[in-house]
Amino acid sequence: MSTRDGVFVFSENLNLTLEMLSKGRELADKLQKELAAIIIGSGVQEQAANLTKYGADKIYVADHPTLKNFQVDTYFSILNSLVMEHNSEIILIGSTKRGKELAARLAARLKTGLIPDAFKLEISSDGELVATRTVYGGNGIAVEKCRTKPKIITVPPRAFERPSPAEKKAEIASVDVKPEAPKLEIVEIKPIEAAKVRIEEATVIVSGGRGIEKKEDFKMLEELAGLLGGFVGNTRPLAEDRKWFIEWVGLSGKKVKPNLYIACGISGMIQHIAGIRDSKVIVAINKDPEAPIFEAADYIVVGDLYQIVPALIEALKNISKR
Amino acid sequence: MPTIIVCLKYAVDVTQIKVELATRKLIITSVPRKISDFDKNALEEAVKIKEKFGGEVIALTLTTEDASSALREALAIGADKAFLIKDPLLKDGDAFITASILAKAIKKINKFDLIICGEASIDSYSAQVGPRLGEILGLPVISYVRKLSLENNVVVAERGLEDCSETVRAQLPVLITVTKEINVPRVPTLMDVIKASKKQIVTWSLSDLGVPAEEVRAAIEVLDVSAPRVERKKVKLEGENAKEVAEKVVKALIQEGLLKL
Amino acid sequence: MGFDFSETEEQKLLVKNVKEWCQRNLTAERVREMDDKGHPYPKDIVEGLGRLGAIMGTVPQEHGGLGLDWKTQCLIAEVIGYYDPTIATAAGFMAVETGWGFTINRYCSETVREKYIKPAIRGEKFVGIATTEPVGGSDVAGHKTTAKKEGDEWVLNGEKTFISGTEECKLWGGGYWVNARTGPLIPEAPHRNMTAFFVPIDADGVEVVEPYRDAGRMAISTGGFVLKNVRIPDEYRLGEVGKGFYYTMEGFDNARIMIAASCVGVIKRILDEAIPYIKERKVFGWPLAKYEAIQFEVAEIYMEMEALRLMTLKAAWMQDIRYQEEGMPVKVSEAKTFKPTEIAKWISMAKWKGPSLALQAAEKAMIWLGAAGYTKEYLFEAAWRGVMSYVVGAEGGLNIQKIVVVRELLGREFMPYK
Repeated sequence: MSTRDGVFVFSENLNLTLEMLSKGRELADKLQKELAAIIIGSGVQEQAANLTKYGADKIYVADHPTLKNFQVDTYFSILNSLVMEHNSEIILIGSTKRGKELAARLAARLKTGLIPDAFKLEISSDGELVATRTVYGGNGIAVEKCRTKPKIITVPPRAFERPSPAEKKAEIASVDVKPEAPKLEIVEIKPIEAAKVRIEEATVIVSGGRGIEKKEDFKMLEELAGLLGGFVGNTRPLAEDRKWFIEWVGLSGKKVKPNLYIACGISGMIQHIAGIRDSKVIVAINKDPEAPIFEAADYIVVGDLYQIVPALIEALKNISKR
Repeated sequence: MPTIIVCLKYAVDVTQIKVELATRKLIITSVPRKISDFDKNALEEAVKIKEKFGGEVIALTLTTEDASSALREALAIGADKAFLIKDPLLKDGDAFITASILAKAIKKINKFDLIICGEASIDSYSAQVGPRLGEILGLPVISYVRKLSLENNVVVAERGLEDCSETVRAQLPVLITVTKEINVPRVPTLMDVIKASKKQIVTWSLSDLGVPAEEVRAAIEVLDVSAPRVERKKVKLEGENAKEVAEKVVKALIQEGLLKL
Repeated sequence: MGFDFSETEEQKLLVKNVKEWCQRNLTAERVREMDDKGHPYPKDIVEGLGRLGAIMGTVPQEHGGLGLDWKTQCLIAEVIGYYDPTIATAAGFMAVETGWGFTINRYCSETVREKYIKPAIRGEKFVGIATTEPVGGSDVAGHKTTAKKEGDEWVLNGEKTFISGTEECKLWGGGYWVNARTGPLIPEAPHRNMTAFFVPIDADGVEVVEPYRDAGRMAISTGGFVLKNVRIPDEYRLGEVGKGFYYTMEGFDNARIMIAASCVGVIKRILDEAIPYIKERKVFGWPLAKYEAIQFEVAEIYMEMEALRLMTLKAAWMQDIRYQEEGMPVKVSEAKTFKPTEIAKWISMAKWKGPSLALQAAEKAMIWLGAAGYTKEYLFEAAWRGVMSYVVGAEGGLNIQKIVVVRELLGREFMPYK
């Protein structure tokens, strides 16, 4: 089966690969082309086999001990030769830091365009791929097309849903690995303490902003989050200015997509809104009736969070008692 | 005594963008521009290396506008010389064009040991130009660097990735992209500003670089840029006291299917 | 009268850098803390200002300065006034050090320059002006400090009061410009026979007294000192014997330009703080800014501020031409020089308007904002208390400025003291 002129998917993050497969399938079907994905690593046969269930026509596997750790030069050379061979029309690459660099280098090597962080991808009525992304620090949404081939798109996590298992399983093909020697020598890798679930994947988030007076008051938000089965977040000033936290929710921090986002004492600066825009339901609690966050909220509560949050906690406890 | 080229973007100051209310179109043309934030970190890092090892820092930018004030600022911060590639053909350019023209300019400048870029620009945030440039010039690329050291022509860089901190080593010449964690850009002294007036800004057009007009066609076509539409329900939940309001919130959450009973 | 009101690229970049430095180091919180805590002025800020090059920028480059013209230094003073609207920073480092320090440098020996001027430019020492005496401030020619020549030294006796920065000077090192009578008092021309000296604060016989408890500009001290047989080498004399009064008038001119320019910044700050508030805050359902009583006052303060700014820059331009004529390396224009008295008229107009307009702006802002404006959450009250110092007397009282203008308009014979 030929996957020429089709859609190609790659991410070193398998969750992202899955998400891109679902959109990739949709695009491939509209273009009446094939969908392929590649998995690169060491000892990845099982993951490859698993991937075949999710809608691709072909899964390429590059399995080699030297590919254990992501090295942009080696991964890039594998991807590049495969893509050149198949003359792909569209290449979707997961928009992680590694993925972004990989995609840009691929685009340069193939002398083609790249649209980064597309959260919406469609085939227009005249058969063209149209991508939508955020620009100008969250102040703008740009709709773009790529004139050249292949069209390289990087896709952010959770832009698309995971696919349900498909009826037909994909073919698996092994790739001969003759990787380019890496130009960089890895001296040390220090893993970051990662929570089991990251806030970007949380389904419920209770978040605090400048309206929170003391760091200890976050205990109240934690209690509320706990009752809802969620995560606690914070805005940028609490990390950068007050130094209460290292990370934050926002355009330049973590972009979240929960089903429920409860904003406590958050004014609603545009960069923060850009980071929570994809939340399904936003509840905002703020003393200031003019707070910009109310323009971006589904439910507006004008009030003192120090009264509302405890009342909410009580109300939720009462429900579980019933 | 390394020669370091720093690529600067004369970017839109995103904090000053206005929206045309009727059409929701962004008004970009009259918005002031400035050196993109991460590029300032890049420049600061280059100047710090120069202060330690000697050598030269060259600032390079690509624009359709008059970016001489930004380049003068770069010279005040510590660049020794600046190159401005200015050509109206660059309008509607994209990262593909930017990287290829920068590469041509760098080849014309014809000397560097290190190229430093910001991780991404503040207005587009696509993080492409650095790695593209490295690929075109055939250089090793080290991206998302938050700590850099140089010794005997070998660069050791600590990269901040999502799940780990990766330290890599490479021999010069290398292209680096830096994050804002790497340093705090300095405020130049007024004497630095005065001295900057005497430093050289060289302006090149695309024909000076031998780039014919036909070659300047962006790969990306922008169909529309508008302010984001936020269609939220904006339902006000009010009550006599906090308890009443809280109960209304719970009811709303149940109605939205967000609370399992 | 071909002229250009626009700023050069270099001026814009200079101003931008001073702004950025102030945004990092003279935050509203810091300024409030400085005003609440009071003197001595924080050394880290003055050293930072020194490294930045904001102090005594008009001193020629070969003497350690930047060789800026007064117009550009005005733009810098505007920024300093903006970020510290209590005017303490502008008082110590724009008016006293930049205005007077520059003038000391014009007439001092290489020794004084190396030991005091250059370190003051770097923010390491403090150089100031001491004119006021217990007998009075405004009547400079009537001051009683004396200096007697003994060999190649001068012996000074006298007392100085209400002098800015004495505590800082004592702490960091430095000295003061002191005028002393060195010849017989001629009743019809009391300004003759006065000589200017640079007196190091740690010279034997200089007794610094406790500072006053000022109403405002709390971060910089106002004190005084007594001179008891203080021996000053002739090398520390400033300029020629008997010319002290004239140099002093020049010093006042330079300091006054700095005060007027700083006040432009203070007023801008007051408007920048008040305007967002009155746009947001509603009364009877409408923003305060909708009410004409308020918006007209805002427009008036703004209009007056722009007039003040133009007048200050013109005065600075005239001073630049005067210095250009005297061979200073600042090339200003092809215009011929102005008479010092003509320049003084413009400078006094600016110095008259600046602090009084700033006072008015602070008061009005408090009224527009109501109770909120009356609190220390805003800097209006601190600005009011600070600039009042420049109305009552610092660098020349309000009424003295008026006298200067009258003198030029109506003639010397109408001077009240004649």
